[in-house]
Amino acid sequence: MTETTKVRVPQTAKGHRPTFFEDPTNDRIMAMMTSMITEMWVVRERLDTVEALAAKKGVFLEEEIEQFEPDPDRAEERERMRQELLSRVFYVFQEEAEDIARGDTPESYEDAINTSADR
Amino acid sequence: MTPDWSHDDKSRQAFQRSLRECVIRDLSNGSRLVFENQVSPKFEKENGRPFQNRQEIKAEMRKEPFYQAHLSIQRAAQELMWASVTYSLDRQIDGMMAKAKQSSDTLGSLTINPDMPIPKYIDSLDIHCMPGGYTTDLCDGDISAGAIYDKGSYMYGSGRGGPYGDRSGQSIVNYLKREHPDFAPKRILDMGCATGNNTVPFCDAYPDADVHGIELGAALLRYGHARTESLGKVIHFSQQNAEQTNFEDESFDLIVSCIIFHETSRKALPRIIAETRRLLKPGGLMVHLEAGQFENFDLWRQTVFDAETYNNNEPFWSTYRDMDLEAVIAEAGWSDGTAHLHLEPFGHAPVTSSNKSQKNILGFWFMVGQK
Repeated sequence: MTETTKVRVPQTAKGHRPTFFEDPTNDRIMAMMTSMITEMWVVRERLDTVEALAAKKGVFLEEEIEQFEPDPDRAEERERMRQELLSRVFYVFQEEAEDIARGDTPESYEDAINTSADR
Repeated sequence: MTPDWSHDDKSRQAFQRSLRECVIRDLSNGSRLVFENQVSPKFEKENGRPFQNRQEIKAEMRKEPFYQAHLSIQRAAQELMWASVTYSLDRQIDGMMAKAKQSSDTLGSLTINPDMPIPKYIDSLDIHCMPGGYTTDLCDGDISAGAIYDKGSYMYGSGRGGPYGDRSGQSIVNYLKREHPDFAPKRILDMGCATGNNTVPFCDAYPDADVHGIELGAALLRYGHARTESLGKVIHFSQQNAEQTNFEDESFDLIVSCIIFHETSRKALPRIIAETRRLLKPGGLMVHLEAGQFENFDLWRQTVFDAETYNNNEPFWSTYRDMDLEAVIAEAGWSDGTAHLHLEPFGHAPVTSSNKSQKNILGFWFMVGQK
């Protein structure tokens, strides 16, 4: 994710990703929606923390927020954050793409079950 | 070496825990209702008999839109649980590795064997959908699998493993202290110890013993070694396959494992139990802890567990839970009646002859033997 990182921690699991609906599009939508609720909560909780901290210091933020214009650095940082949000919400496509890249198929998954059962 | 979780990381991780509870509570319960109230009566009416096995149930349930959505969201929740750990670890893994390297051997030891062949059963799928699995080794000094596992397995168990993730090991200790109060092992081995979380209770319970842990994954061991040192405990870790170790015959008084059987294979499992026998001193004890066999659960629970095999990268889970373990014990050389299976339900209630035949008792199953 960052350029200073030399080692890339794995982000997807080896093994064909199962789907459950007749149309796998529905599985993608479910996955995105589930991720989206998570991210929504993350924002909501941060906001709650900000409000709580500000209130503790007797600071009234509402009007300042309405007037706020980000400087270029912050604008750039926000673009990075948006891209991260997008990759989290659309993570299911990364799962599927990496399945394809690795050659993971339903058959290779079945093979793994059979191999470990030594049939 | 502990990861530095941001405010957002913590929110995300807390949310994944809530989501898991919601899936278990609302979606699983909903699917059970679909099964009991709709699918099961309909099947009986059409076929003139009830469901006979979990495969029949699976075939009918997979047509149900509710169950489809349940499994779809459950799969996504599992992936997002790991993502709530791996995204952030990717940011900080280099710093963590540097810190882990600084904490060199002071108490215990770590022996990595890069030439050890990785068995296919542990490597063909990333078990539990954990990105990279147990055996990915990204570079010299890599600890990422350990860092992912330590945090992820805590979340996976919804915290039931306790703050130190050692509840399974602790359960074996509780069992031993109750059933063998005078047992004082001098040398202890934990097979498939992962990051050693469940090995630590044996250091505390038997402070005079030499405690060893073996594991297939190098990055799990490196992380486990650094973690154990930071806790001030003494464990000797080595990268070895429990099917065939380099320890001498009759060199341990106590050999344990925590929930590793279902991640092996039909051929490997008897070998591990036979290796346990080879390594035990006469009079020594083995206690392998696992999940119960399918025969102890009703067909719906079997169906729920079986879904893990197909949807959560658990290739041996269902095969294992259908196996006749009594036969496996005998096949592995414990044919003299010195080994048996024992159920330890969650919540400390000891097993009695009256509840042993009941279905759906959730708890740990011990394979116990005295050589």
